[in-house]
Amino acid sequence: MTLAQSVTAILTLAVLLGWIRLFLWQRRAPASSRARRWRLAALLALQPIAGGLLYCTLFPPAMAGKTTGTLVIATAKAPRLIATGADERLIALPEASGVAGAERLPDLGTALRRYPEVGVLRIVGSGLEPRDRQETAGRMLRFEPTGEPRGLIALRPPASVAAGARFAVTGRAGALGGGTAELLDPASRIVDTQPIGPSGEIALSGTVRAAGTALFTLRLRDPSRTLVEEAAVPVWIAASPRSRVLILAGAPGPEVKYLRRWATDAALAPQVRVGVGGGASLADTPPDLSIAALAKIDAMILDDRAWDGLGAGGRQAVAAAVRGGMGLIVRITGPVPRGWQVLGLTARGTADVAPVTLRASAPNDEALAARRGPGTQDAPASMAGARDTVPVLTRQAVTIVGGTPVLRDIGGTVVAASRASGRGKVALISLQDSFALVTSGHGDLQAELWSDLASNVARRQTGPVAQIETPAFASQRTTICGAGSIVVTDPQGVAGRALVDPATGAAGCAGYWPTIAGWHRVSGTAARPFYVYPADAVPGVRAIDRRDATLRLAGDDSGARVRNAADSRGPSWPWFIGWLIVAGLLWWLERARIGRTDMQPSRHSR
Amino acid sequence: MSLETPVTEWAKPARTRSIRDDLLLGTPIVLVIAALGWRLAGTATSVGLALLGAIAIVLIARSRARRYDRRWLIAAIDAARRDAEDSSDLLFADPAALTSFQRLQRARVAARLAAEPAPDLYRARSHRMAIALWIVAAAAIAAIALWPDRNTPGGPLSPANEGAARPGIPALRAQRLTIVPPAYTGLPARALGTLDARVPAGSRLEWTLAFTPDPVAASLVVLDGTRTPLTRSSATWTATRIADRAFLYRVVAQGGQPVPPLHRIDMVVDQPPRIRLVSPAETLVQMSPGQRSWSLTFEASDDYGVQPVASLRIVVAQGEGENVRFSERIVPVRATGDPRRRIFATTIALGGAGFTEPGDLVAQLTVADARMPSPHRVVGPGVILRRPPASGAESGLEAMTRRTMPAYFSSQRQVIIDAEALLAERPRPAPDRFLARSNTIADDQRLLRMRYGQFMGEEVGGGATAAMPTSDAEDGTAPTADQHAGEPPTAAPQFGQDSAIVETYGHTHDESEAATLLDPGTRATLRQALDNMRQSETALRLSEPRRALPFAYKALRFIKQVQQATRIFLARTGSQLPPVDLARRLTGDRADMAARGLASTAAAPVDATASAIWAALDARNDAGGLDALARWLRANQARVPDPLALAAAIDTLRRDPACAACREKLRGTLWSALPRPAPGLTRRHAGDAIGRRYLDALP
Repeated sequence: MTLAQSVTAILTLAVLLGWIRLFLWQRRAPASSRARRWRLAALLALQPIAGGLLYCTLFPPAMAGKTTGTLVIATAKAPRLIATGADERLIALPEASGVAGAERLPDLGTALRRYPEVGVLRIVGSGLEPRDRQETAGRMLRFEPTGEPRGLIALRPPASVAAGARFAVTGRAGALGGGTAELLDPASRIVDTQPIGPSGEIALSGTVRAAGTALFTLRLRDPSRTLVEEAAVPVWIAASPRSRVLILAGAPGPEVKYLRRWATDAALAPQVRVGVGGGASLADTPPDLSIAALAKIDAMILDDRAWDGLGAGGRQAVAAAVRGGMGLIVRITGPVPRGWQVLGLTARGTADVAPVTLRASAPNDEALAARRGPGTQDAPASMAGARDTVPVLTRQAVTIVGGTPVLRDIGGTVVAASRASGRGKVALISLQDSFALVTSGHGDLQAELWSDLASNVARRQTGPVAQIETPAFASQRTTICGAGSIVVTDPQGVAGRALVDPATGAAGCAGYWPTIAGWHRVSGTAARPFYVYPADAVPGVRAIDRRDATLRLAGDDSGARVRNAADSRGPSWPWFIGWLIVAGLLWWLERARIGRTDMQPSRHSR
Repeated sequence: MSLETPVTEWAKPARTRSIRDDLLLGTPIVLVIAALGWRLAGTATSVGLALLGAIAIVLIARSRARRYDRRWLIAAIDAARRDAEDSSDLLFADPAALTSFQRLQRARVAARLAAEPAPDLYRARSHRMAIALWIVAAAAIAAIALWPDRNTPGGPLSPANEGAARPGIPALRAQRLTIVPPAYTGLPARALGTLDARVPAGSRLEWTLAFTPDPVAASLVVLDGTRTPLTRSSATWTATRIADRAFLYRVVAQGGQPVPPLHRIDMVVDQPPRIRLVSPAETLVQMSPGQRSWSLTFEASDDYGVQPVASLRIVVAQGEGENVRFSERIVPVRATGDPRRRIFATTIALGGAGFTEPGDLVAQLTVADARMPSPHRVVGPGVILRRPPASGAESGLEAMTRRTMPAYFSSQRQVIIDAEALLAERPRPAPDRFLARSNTIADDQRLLRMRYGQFMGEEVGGGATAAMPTSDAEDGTAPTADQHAGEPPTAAPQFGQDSAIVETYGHTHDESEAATLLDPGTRATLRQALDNMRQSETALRLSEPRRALPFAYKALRFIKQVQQATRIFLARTGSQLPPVDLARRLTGDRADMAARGLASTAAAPVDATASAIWAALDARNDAGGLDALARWLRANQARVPDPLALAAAIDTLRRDPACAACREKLRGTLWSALPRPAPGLTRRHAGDAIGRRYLDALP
């Protein structure tokens, strides 16, 4: 119940009580002092009028007739000359520069307090800043968005990345069709390039090293190779939590050998069992396939023979574990019988094999060398294969039905697909000889392939994680959610506590105003770093953000004219005077001797 | 009255003015030459040139002034004075030789000339030329003086910017780095206004520096700790160092800035020359008949220059079989063309090289570049000239064998063709000749049969050879069957080993390796083919080719079947399988079978120091990480792509630990040296409680 409703109820009650009192008074009063009928009627009528006027004094109604005139608000990127109509007033917010003949005001709220009577706001320029977006409620908003700015207009840096993994950066470039997008690593070497199509979509990838924070750079060039924009791409390489992977194979082979080697190198603590026939097997330690044991496994990689060999009980245990969050990958190593399926993912096809050509990840050999790094003792850079020596692999010619594609070859054929099952995921892969990548000097590609696939299905991370609104900019509020008690350390080492807003409930969000750009750190249980862009970085992205938010405001307003009376109340003093008069009249009428029965004793004596 | 006196007297003004005009014309030229000399060589040269020029001008002017002599004077007076009546020559003639009339005339003329003052006899020259020359010379001298010298050593120092100058604290004010590349490079010395340079290996670096105010001492401190003291000479400080490796250094003045900025000297390493064979186009050339000489052309290119004389090694290998003789000699080859791209062309006289028999002549060029000391020597590709063995040149048994070689490979089809040709021949040959030819075909047939018989493990002897047709061994060298008897048994026989009995006492004709070559079906077919060949041969020996033909056809068909048989079983080699436990075989006993562990596949651990320091550099502000990184860099210099850049970045951050940009730069430089770990699992976001409930509720 709002305040106004409570007041209404109280006033109604008061009026009712007044009426009852009047009736009781009338009945109990001696006949000589009883009121005449017109006096009683006046007293009865004045009660609700006084109540109504008191209500209007407390909650003065909106002045519908006075909301006239238009404010023309010049925002960022507004033109210097703005044509205004007869009843239009031109206001320039601080972001608009050099607008001729405008009144400069610090924000929209000030403008509306100064000109409360306006009913329509016309926004000129790229749109309202976040600061001004809450001030417009109750007014009609008109906004004609300008075209897309030239340069970067959307940037989605990766969320946390595992050490050594490949990551993807997506974004969009405005008005740069035919240009080029380049991704540079922290050492300023190009790791990926891509021509920008007419849609402007950008999808680039790079590789990271050990855990920490790294700043990649996205460069946009126009068709004449002139640099248009440079934007930082923050990448957080999270220290990997301990993972456990179970690898079962029905027969030994190079594929399982190199799969095990990848898992060992990636510190996934693989437990491997390889059947060698006749009930014998090669194993690190015999794996326990009970539901309780599987609950500790993050991902399980089987081949189809091992899957079939699990037996009904084993398959049920695995299915239950997948529903509980485990990831399951089943490799198809041979022809599958009709109707073969793994937890809802079906594979059907012939007994043939088909060639698989993988898409090259790097645009040239230099970029490939930059992605691979200087090499290790076991895999020196001198032994790595050149970009054009990636072998053609083989897959079982089956179609995987019922999942979302995870891995495609260069022609778009789905080689691996995954499907959610409960909290976990299951994936099928028909690739048979990814080991050939390792033996031809492309071990990085094999590791990336299996890392991507396993990351797609593996158990979700446990423990709290802070959610931070990205991108964050210096001198602009950002939101940090779900981190319990939130302590943020800025690049200069100054720690500050952000207070959680209780109104956000379980999400536990807090507002944070970064003052300087750079890597900030949220400490506590959900510790993580986040990058704050300088206030003038990625102007295109911010312009699009302003435009979209302003369009949303304008759309809300024109669609359903929900006018909040609280924001356009008229003055309450006329109502107060009216109430004072009515109350005075009431008081006088009750006290006055006029209209009493003793003037007409015959009626009272009856 | 002397004859010469009036001439000297009257011509003197003209001579003086002529000399003056000539000097006016010549001086600007001399000045320009002197200015050029000053600019290009120095003051002394300039003064010398000026003196020489002055002397030359004076001499020229004097000789030009001699034109104003008696003849000129007579002509000038005659032209100038009408009252001389063309008789002025009388004035200068010997009075004794004159006639009286002439003497009278002379007196009159002398009187007239004395009465009126002599006119100006010198015809004034135009001064336009002189003025133009002076203007041009002034412009030229100005240009010479003001022309900026960038590439010539010497000249003024460039201003340095190493921190703000503060009173009383020595700071580098001006600098010049002169690079004198090694003489062999042929590059000119050049002076740089900066202290960072990229220089050819072995260059002499000369620093000329100026400080304000002058410090007590100064030195160049290389980042690895070595110092080169600067020596003072009047206002400047100099030091010299040979660039034998790339290094980072700083100019440290005593009492000045403690850590001035770093400078970097990079080295361009001398590349070894590259040799390309221009002609012939291929490295193996067959000698053409009648060829007497062989022309070779190589091209050698180098970054600085190839020595003009290369050595050509000529190896002649001639003879055949075991009787191959080698001779080697080295001849010098002179080059033509640009030193950086020299052409070595030579012609080898084959007779002179002693290359007269069949065999190979190998020529190989060795060039050296101009590097001093220790030039790079590169051996080029060997080019072979091959003289094929002349067919007629052979003689004796070897030649016979060679000629019978084709018959050795006579095929079954050839046997059939020969037999049919013999039958079809008209007129029919005489019986004895027919028999002889039929016998020849039968020999072919026999050879072929024995050839295939080898696959069946047949031993052959007498006439034919047991060697494979591809064997290089000569006929008859294969051991005959009887030779087996003399061989000692390979191992001591053990009781119960039945195969050993056969080895010891028996004689297995069936060669196990060869016998397992074919599967049973193929063996049966081949056996039939051999039988048919034998029948065919028998008929041919009996001079009945017509009767032999059906067998020959059958044999051909069987051979084709064998050829088309797909499976050939090869003897296994290499793998040493454990012996089969026959006592347990096929009993179904699996008691001892157990799961075996897998061999470890862990990779060699990657040195995580660099990664750890890289991660720590992100947040930490102390120098401990930098010290550890410097130690790591010293130990792993070879693995870092650009160690100098990393060292410079470490040093920069050490100087200014609060510099965030320097820290980013160091992290960026270090990034390229970080090994990439094998990618593991990127965990998906956990989602919230509502999401989990939703997922659990899904079927």
